[in-house]
This record gives sequence, structure tokens and C-alpha cells, in this order.
Amino acid sequence: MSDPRLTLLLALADDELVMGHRLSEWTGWVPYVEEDLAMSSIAQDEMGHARALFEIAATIDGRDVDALALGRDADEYRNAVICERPNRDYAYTAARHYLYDTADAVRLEALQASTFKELVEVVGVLRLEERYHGDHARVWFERLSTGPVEARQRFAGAMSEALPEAMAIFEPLSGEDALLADGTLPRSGEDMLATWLATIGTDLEAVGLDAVLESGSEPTVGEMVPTSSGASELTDDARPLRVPGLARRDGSWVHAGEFSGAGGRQGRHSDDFPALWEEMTGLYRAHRGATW
Amino acid sequence: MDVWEVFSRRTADDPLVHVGAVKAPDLELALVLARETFFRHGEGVDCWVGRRGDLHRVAQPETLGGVTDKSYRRADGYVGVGAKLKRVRDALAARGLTVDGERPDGKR
Amino acid sequence: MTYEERTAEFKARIDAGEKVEATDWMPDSYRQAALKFIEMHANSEIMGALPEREWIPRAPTLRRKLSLTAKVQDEVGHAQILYRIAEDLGKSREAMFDDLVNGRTKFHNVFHYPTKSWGDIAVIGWLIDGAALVTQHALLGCSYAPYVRAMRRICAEESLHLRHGEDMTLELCSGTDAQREMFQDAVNRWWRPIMHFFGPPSNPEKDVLLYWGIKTRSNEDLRQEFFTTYVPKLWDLGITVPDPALRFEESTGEWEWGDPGWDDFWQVVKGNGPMTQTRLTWRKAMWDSHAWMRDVFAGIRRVA
Repeated sequence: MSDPRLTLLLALADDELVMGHRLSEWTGWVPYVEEDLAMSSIAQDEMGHARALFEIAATIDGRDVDALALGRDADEYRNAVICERPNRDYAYTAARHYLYDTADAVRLEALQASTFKELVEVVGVLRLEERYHGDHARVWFERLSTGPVEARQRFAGAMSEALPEAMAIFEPLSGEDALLADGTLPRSGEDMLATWLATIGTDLEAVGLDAVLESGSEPTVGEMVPTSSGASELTDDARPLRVPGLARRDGSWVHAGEFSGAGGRQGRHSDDFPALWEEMTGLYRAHRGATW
Repeated sequence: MDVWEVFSRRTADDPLVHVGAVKAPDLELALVLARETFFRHGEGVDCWVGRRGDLHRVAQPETLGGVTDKSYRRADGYVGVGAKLKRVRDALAARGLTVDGERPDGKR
Repeated sequence: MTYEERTAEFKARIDAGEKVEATDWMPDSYRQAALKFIEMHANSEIMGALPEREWIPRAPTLRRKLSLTAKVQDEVGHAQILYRIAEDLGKSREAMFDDLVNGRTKFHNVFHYPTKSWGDIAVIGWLIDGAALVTQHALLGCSYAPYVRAMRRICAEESLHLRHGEDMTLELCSGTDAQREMFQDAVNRWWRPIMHFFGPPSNPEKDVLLYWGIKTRSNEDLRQEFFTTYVPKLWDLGITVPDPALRFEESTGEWEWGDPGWDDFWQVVKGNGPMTQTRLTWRKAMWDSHAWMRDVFAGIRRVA
């Protein structure tokens, strides 16, 4: 991978492919039928965006779209680790969806000013569909964070799990300096990360979930003892961890120090990736050259 | 005075379709007026009205159905299938793979 | 007017080809039959999503991954339309889902089997959707108007699915030997469930759905149409049908066919299909673990 433009394209395309792959696993399972339809369309959009990006990558790489999407070795995939995590429940899915799509919006907005003409054209089209993803993610963000007690609890927990890893969407790319120098990448990952943190910081504070950024989830109220006066203790399994690599300066959240959940951009994935990769690419790899 | 949107069903098998609107101060009058405004030639078998203020438009209607290639969801994504069937059938017949059997159209 | 008189008048309307709307008066027996039938159809669409969706993550090209996702999404969409209509007949969606996941209501027999290869996806997309389309076209003449309107939309989407399934089939049948074998093997495993799909030959005189005009054609009639449409096409593609008794009898103008193992069919009906419990267990687990999501949809808010 000598051409840094290919590094950028594969990072973008693999994020969309793997995110779409995970979201497509919800098709048929979402426990509310209309939402199943909405999430399936978002999954299709993401996979369609991957295809559009692979089409550009193919002109540089020489391999065709399917060989790029389904025919590479596991360590050749450049998606951020957050994308490959299993869906868990709908609260985690919604939290990740919000984090990913707000991050993607920052990234695509920046790329709109790229000097890479083919990419700019595709980005313009992708952004039209990403606006709906943003709307959808925010509707859920609002409903879950202000909704029923259990929904809010689950959402806060999911957010504190997903957020540190989502920061690594902006993990530096190899060759990022060259991409910045010729204007292919108009803003550095670090710069975009700052914008994104400001956005989600504001959103989280607005619904009183900024504790997620600061200290992980709050301790939960334990089992109620059923006596006439009641009694309940705070459980001691609270997670008082700060989001690694995050600090608050002058009233806003900024990146400071390391990335947790990083490695995806270098092809170093989590334990969740091999099974995903095997399932996603197995049939294609078993019949190379066949048409379907 | 409110605007009431009027919907019609041409036959019992058809979906409701928007046919126009009437202005009326209340529902009762809107229903009475919609009848003769839109159905006097027998244009439909069913009529519904709804206050315009109760109807809401979706954001970005121009992106309904998607902007990136979604032809796989539509008939135009499969226009070549009929011709492909004929091509594959002929190719398989040439390879002698067709299964023989009595058919309703009398051909074997 | 007595109940009996109203029922007789209603029956006369049905026999004259008139349509029934949700807001019309209807005999209890009509309402129950329509509800049960539409609920079972809705259950089948939502459960029918499961065998196919297993292959979305494994689809062999990006375009097939997209088209299969969209196809399964459409099945879920059909369930949405049908549950909505069923609700208007007097049972909440929540109750219908609860009955489904707890095994108290039924779904079509073909959705109780495993999908073992991509060949299964082609068979489902072409032959099972083809069989479904034969039966669903017949429902366009249903006496219950909301269902007819739903079927119009559903049939249009199913026609698209059929093209999609045919396309996948043609790729396999004209592909490598391994691909052809994949498809033949899938036909061999699915043929009996497809025969079961049309149901055992039944006595039309006793069928309450025919009596009320909720359906208009008999099981055997529909099965014969399926044979005529699909058996010659399979033969053209060099695919054998795993029923040695199957033949078209010119003198009667009918297809003769062999016993497809009705005992297996009745086992599936009783909820003992190879994948029945697995799929219901997962569906129930998802339903139970997401009760909080139903609270969100119920509009319950934390007072800020």
C-alpha cells in the first residue's frame, strides 16, 4: 500500500463495510418492526457507501470491488475497532450508531474540501444519505437518554463502553502527513477529533449524560430491600474510569494522550474480528473466480 | 378557517390517494363539502379528510428510496433476467443437460 | 335485525363479490377467521426473515449482500403491513408477538428448516417465493379489502424477489460444477417442504376460509399451477425434481405427484420442525430482553 490515498480510501470503505455488516445483522431481529426496516436501510446505505469507495480504490489498487471487500486477508482490513464490535443489545447499537455517525459526519464534511476529485464527488452523494443517519441517531439518542429509566440506564452504560473506542475512528492513518500535505485530507484526524468531541460533549451535557465522559457510569442503585421503610445501597461495582485519553479544558472536552481501542487503522483488530472476517469472506474466498 | 386535505379510494382494492383540499371551520362541514367537491362524478368509493396541521412532511423527500445505487431494490435492477434465462437454458441444452419430461404445453 | 339475519345478509354480500372494510359489521366467525389467517401470514413473514438472514453476513458479493439484506427487509416490511391490518381486527401487536414467541400461534412450515448453503438462498428466493406468489396472487380476490390492498403491495414486491431469486438461480445453474451441485442439493432438501407449503389436499366444502371468501382457490389448484410454472423451468436448467412419481398426465391435464411425507408436515405444524425451537427461542430472548424498548415506543418519558 504505497499510495496514501489508498490507505485513506480503505479506512473509509472498511469502516462503512464492517459497520454495515454489523448493522445488517439486525435485519429480521429488531424487536420493533418499523425500526427493523429503518436500521436495515441504514445498514444498506453503509454497505453501499463502502461499495462506492471501493470503486475508487479499485482504480488505484487494481483488484475489483468484491476482491477488495471480501477477498483480503484479515490484517489487511483498516476499519476502526468500534465498527467490528458485536451489536450486543439495541442500546449499545444505538449508542455506537450515534457516535459513529456523528464522527462520520465530521469526517465527510472535512473531505468535501479534499483535492481528490473522485473522492469529493462520492462524498457529496454519501452526505445526502448520512444526513438521515444523523437524524435517526439523534432521535434515538433523545428518546433513550430522556426515556424510561431502564432505557436511559442501558444507554448510559452502552455509551461509556462505546465512546473510548469511537475516539479511535480518528486514529492517525499511516501516511497522514503526505495526505495532509497535498490536500487529499484537508484536516488531520486530531483536528477532526476535537470538532467531534465538542459536538458530542454538548449533546451529552444537554441530557445530563456528561458523567459518561468524565467518570464512566455512575454506581447503580442496588436491590430494594422489601421492608416498610425500604433500604437500598449503592452497588460497589461502579466503573469510575475516566475515558482514557480525554480531558476537560476551558469548559470543553479535548483529546489528551493515548487512544484506547486503537490499532484498526494499522490492521490490528480485536478478538471480535476473526469470526466476523471468516463469516463475511468465507464463501467468496472458497470460490474465487465464480460469479453469483 | 382550517384547510382539510381530502383523500379518495377509487375502488375498494386501491390505496387512499390525495385528491385535493377544502377550507372549512370544522370537521363536520369539511366532510360535507369534500363529498361534492371531489366525488360528484363518482370518482371514488371512499373519502377521508384530515386537518392539514395534523399532517407532516418528511425531511429531505428528495432522498426517499436512497441516493446511492439502490437498483437492487427495484425492478430496473433485474431487467436482464428474462434474457439471461433464455441464454442459460440454450447453453445448458447445448451441453445436453436438460431434463426430459412430458410438459403441459405438449413440448418435450 | 337478529345476529342470524345480519350474518345471512353479510354472507350474501360476500357471495355477490362485495368487499368488507375494517369498520364494517362482520360475524364473529368471519372476524376470527380473517384475524387468524392474517396473523399467521404476518408471523410467517417475520419468521421467514430468519432462515434467509443467516446468509446476509456470508453473501458472496457485495451486490448480493445488499440485495439479500433488502429482500429480507421487505419480508419484515410485509410483516409490518400485515400486523397493522390484523391489529385493526381486534388484537394488539404485542399480544400477537407474545403468542408467537411462546409458541401459541403458527407460522408457515417452510420457515422451520435450516439454510445450509447459498443454494438454499436461491431456492428460497425463486421456488419458495414462487410458491408464495402463486398463493398470494390468489388472495387478491379476498373479501377483506384491507388485506387485498396489502396484498397488492406485497405481490409487487414479491415479483421483484422472484426476479432476484431467478437471477441467483441462473448464476448457480450456469456456474461451476460446485455451484450447480449446491443448487441441486438445495432443491433436493426443499422440495418436500415446498409440497407441504401448499398443504395436504383438503375438502373445499369444509374450508371456512373459502366459505367467507377470505381465500378463493383450493390447495391442490394452487399446487398444480406451481408445477406448471416451475417444473419445466427446473428441467430446462438441468435440475431434477426429487419426486419419482411426478409427471404431467396429458389425459387429465393434471400433474401427478408422490407422497411428500405428510408425517413430517404434521410434526412441523406441531412445532417440532428442525429449527422451530431454536428460532422461537432466539426470537423470544430478543423480545424479552428488549421490553424497555417497547416502553420507549409506548412514549414513557423520564420527567426532566
